[in-house]
Amino acid sequence: MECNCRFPPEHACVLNFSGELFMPSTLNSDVVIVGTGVVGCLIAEQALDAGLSVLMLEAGPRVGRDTIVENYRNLPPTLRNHWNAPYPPKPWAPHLETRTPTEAASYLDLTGPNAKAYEQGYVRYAGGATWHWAGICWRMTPDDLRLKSLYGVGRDWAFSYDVLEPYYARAEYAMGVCGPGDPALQWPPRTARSRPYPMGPIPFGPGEQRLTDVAATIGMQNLPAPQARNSGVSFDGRPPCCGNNNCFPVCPIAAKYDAATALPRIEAKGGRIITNAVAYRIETNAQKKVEAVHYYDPNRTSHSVSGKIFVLACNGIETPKLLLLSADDKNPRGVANSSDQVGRNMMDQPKLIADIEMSEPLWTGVGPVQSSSIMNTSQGDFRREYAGAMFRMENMARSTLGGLAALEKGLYGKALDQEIRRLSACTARLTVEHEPLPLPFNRLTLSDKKDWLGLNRPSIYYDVGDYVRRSAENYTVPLLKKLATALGATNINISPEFLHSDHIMGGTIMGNDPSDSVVDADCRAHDHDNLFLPGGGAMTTGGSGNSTITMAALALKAADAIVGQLNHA
Amino acid sequence: MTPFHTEFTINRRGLLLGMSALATAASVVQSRTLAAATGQMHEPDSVLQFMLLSKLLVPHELDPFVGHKIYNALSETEEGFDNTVTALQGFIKKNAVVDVEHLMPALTDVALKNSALKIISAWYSGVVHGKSGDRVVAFEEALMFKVTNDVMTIPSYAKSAPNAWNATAVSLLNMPAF
Repeated sequence: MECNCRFPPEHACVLNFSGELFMPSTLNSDVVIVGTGVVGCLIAEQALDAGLSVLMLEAGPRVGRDTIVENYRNLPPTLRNHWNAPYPPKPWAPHLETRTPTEAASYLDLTGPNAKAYEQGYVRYAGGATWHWAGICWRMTPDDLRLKSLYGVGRDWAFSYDVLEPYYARAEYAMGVCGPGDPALQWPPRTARSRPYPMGPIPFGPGEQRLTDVAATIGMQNLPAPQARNSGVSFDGRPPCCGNNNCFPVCPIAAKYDAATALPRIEAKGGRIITNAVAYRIETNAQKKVEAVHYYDPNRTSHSVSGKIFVLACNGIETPKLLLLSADDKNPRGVANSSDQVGRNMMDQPKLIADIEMSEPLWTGVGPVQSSSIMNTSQGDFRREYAGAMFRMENMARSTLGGLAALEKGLYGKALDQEIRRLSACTARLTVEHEPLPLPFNRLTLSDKKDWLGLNRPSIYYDVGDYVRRSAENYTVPLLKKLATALGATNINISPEFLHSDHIMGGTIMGNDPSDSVVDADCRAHDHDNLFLPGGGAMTTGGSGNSTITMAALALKAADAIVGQLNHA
Repeated sequence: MTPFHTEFTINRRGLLLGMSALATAASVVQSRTLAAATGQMHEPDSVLQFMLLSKLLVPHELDPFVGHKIYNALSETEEGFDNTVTALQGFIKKNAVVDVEHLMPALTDVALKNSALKIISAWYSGVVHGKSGDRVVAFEEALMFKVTNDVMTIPSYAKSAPNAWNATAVSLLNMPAF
């Protein structure tokens, strides 16, 4: 079948999956953003507010909150702790699913001694992984940005905390972060804030209060977490948290910030969002500028979008994958990859968990699923030798776990009720998340295995490294046992291997030196001045806390640079 | 709190995880409302017998609508389920059993005992395990949530007014009535 249309060759018709001729569309916008998660949405709004046109591409579908909540409630109880289960992926936009080992191996191609610790959960839906994030917003500390200078490990960031602080504050207002007003309960400690949190803290339930009291007796300070959850009042058109205790896999009332709540506002401001559009190639010209993003629709018909500025914000795995997929004669290692650092330095906080049983009730399950953490264990001179870490307790209601475990024992009648109540109230999960180092051998490459569209799946080698292993052996596991014992644990079961924290970082690492980093201090690609790669991939080090607020701060910093660059042009 | 009951089979996930799940649930709620409004909650005798048996196995307030769903699911997954119900009822009557604590130790027939445990499990967990997959018959009405409902949230349902919860720990002995 031949194309007889009058368009020039670059716009010629192509065959779709059904063998039909189809004329691909070519769209144009000032700012083209790939990805509709928190980073993409924050940049889109900043650009729209500055009078720029914005077009966003999302690989997956746009699904209503009611559907996701019903998906969750319709799951068998044994699957309700698989956070990805309420988000069935479309064939053209796969993401990790974990209900069976076969399913878990069907997208991410993981290798290395700690492959399990890179089973990253993210959602290829409009709104991205913020659908099932915990909402926790720990800032990094000034020391976290200077690991090399202070401790001789890792790297230093391209700027100091003072540069990042105003963007943290803006991000806290953009996302609606609640937190304590008392400086003694704020993080980082003894560090000035340019603005208070927009809302006060969310109250503790009995479990988190007990953890706080007990931890204090052994020198561990459990702080109320700053969290992107509306506390006591509505904020940004979203209602206050009513303690639905379901922040992951989905907040049923949108009290927690998720990027999906920003999408209608972006459209109201004139932004255009194209869903089910899988970006597969970044095209550059002879002047090293990005000219277009090419994407497939679900019929595998190719389309392209041209623009002035391009932002890849499709998370720390999909962004480096897309850059590597875009290798051509002009960019033999992939786009933005003259340094050979794209896909290297993959980071996450390797996590260990301790399931404990106590003689007295602790009562988790009141308030958000996470609402506090112990952060003072993440800082100190010991970081010359081994990693700092954040400790916390999962605050999810354990009735399902208690119920299923008691039924498994074959109980009935009053004994069944008593055992469900005991197992629900007198058990808990403690976790410790270790600070990672950027290690070049932890690398994302293109797998030989292909996805539904015929695109290479991501292959990731992951080794948590000796820095983390030494921490676990000498520091965190003994401390975890000490904390469990202080809580009155009669049984402590620690996970035999490191697990993932779902904080994907490092794959498009930031630095001042173009020879060993991918982006500059504004998340602009060293190789292409109209290409921005903000988000977790740009983070130079990971710290011990959750990464989203830093990703959001970097997004706002990049947005300022984008607006400035286009205004200057 | 709006009752919202749907069935779920893993192998039919594509069908049930989409709008059809909502449509199914909506139609069930609609039928239930209609039936209640017209006073036509007439259950077949087999379902009534199942509810009588359930009342002894699970000594709590039992929602007849959930019971109907459990009965349907067990009838489809357990061969000869009506006969099992009849046999258990017969055993209870013959031995004048008054509660589940006396019934279970007296049940020497392993198959009958396992069936009784399956019925109990379905009421508490809200799911019936079958060869073709799991069938979810209840979410917030699953009795495992009732046991801790004085403190713990039923996930995805509101705990209280905004920020109205507190850190008060209650005794394990204060079992809620349900």
